Amino acid sequence: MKRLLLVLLCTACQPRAGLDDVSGDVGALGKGLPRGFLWGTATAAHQIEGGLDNSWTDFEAGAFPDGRPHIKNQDRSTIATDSWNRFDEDLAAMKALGSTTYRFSIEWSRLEPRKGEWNDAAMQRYREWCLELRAAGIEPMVTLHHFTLPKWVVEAGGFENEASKADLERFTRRVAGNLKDQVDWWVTLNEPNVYAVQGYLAGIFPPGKKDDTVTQTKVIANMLKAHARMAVALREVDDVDADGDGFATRLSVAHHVRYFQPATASPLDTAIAGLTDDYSNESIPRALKTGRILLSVPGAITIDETVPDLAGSIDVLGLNYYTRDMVRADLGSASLSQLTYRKGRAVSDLGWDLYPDGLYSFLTRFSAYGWPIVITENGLADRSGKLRTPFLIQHLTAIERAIRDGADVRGYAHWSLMDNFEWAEGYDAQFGLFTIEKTTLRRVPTESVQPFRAIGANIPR
Amino acid sequence: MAVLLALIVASAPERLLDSNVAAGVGVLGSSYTVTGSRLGEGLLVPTISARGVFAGFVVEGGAMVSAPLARGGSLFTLTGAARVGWSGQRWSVVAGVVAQFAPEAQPALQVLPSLRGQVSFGTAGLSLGVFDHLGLVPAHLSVDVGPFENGRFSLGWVAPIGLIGSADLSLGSGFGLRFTGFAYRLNNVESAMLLVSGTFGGAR
Repeated sequence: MKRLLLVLLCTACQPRAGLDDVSGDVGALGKGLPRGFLWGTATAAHQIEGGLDNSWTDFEAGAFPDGRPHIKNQDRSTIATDSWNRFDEDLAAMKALGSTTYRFSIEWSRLEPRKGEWNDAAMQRYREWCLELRAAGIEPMVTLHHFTLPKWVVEAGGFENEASKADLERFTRRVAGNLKDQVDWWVTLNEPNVYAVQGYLAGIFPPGKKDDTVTQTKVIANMLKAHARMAVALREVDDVDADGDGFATRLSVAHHVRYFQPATASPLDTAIAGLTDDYSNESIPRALKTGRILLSVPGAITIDETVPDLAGSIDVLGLNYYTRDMVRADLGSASLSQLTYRKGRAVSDLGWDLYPDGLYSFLTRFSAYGWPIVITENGLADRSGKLRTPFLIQHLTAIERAIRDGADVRGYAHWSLMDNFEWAEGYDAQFGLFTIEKTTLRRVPTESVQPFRAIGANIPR
Repeated sequence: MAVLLALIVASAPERLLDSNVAAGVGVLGSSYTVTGSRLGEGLLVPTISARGVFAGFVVEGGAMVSAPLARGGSLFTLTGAARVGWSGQRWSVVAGVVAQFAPEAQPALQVLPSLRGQVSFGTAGLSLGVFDHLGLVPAHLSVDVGPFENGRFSLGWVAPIGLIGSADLSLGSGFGLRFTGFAYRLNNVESAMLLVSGTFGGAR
């Protein structure tokens, strides 16, 4: 108890860095990263490829009951950044950044538009991308599910239907069979918690259901079960060590984490922040480590289930980190809380608190699980481009500090390579190191390209 | 105010609770733990409180400001508590609400019930509190001893795991010093506080 008291009281002594502390000088940043550290960017198929017809297509054209369009400014993904036809331009952008990795997703609806009907030409194009990336010294990191589903999967219930895992496993085997000699780094799922929360609590992703924490929780559980099957499939099919590092597969889930800080010292705020953290941040890595899915929304649903093949199903933990939320208890809301941001701090164009200490916290915290960690997403919406470089410097500083303190961090993929279709935010939120010229879709470098490249050049080779 | 309280104290019959005022400052740590890590922070908490006992009828009020000690920490809050009740010679009960106002939070106002009951067996007694101490302690059961010539002491259990204690030390002429501390763990929530107050009035 004495130790507890001392620790709690000493939290007062810990300084908290803010984005406002940063100069724009990269200096030796990057030298504190380990040899072979993967350095690059991330994208997702639906946000950049264009020409897709999937679970988002009809949703993008729809509106909420109050008349507001599902997508800000009534944007539609349509052609997006036309990356399906402009991969050479994307690759040139990656080279300009000095990238050594590129995280992108394979679009299930493109490869299997109808159940059992495969688009081999599309598969071949993805394969060519991997070949070109490797030729450029860029390690492909392939995401197999990033927020979208083929329409035929949606019609069968999507992730609400546990049977979807068999379809996803088939898709995984198909992709792995085609790319196994080029890809070692596989991300089975992107942000299961975000997929479920936005689709079933906030209602701003398909299927657009609101305040349904029961289905939301079942969806997270079903996604984890699907992941377990995908992991088994990848390890069975991909038996080729493409990059010669001794591993044929490096499996991960890109797990979205948010730093949930109690808004006040009220026991209620602190307790709800703790519950929120456990549900959103902790439950997924815990399940991946132990095989036990333990998810609870008090008063609504508790799932406690041990899933075969889930324990040990990843080799690397992917972390997507963006922001901190202040958690205020609100027992009348489905999530039991309201999230808010502290006034007077640097925020992104989406109002997200830019809080590099949160990244440090997660890197050191999740090191306890024993996996190496790759930051599979980190970035900000910044139309002005003025915050991106200090953001980058602060977050890389946090990563280097975490490494010094014992965290095993193996890579960093900035979100994103270029401005793209940012889901419910449409094209309004600009996350790119490159902007997209509206009429020509030309990739235009932002001020942060050079600092990004300079940090990459400092990484020991 | 002091004269008024002195008159009240002087004229009041012997009851379990006394009229008194207190003002102090404390440090509060609040956090939750995850995967062996602890996420939390420290806050400075100036507090004032007052109790009046009028022919057994008890009115209590208190206020607390909490301000994070580190830049960029949790939100500034103002907490107020109001409780009413009854004090006999051997037992007392007060109940009311604790309202916490955080201008930047949504919802800005958070209201919790607050309760404290005490029973005395001479120089020892028991007290039970729910969201006591301006709502900071979820539930506690304490053993009270005193009052003695030099003060009064209390030590108790905070549910489910924790300790709470206080010492009221008499400095003479109705003045005193009060030390209050608690530390508890509730699921993955940890909270601890040390508060030092100056008091005037009765020691109970």
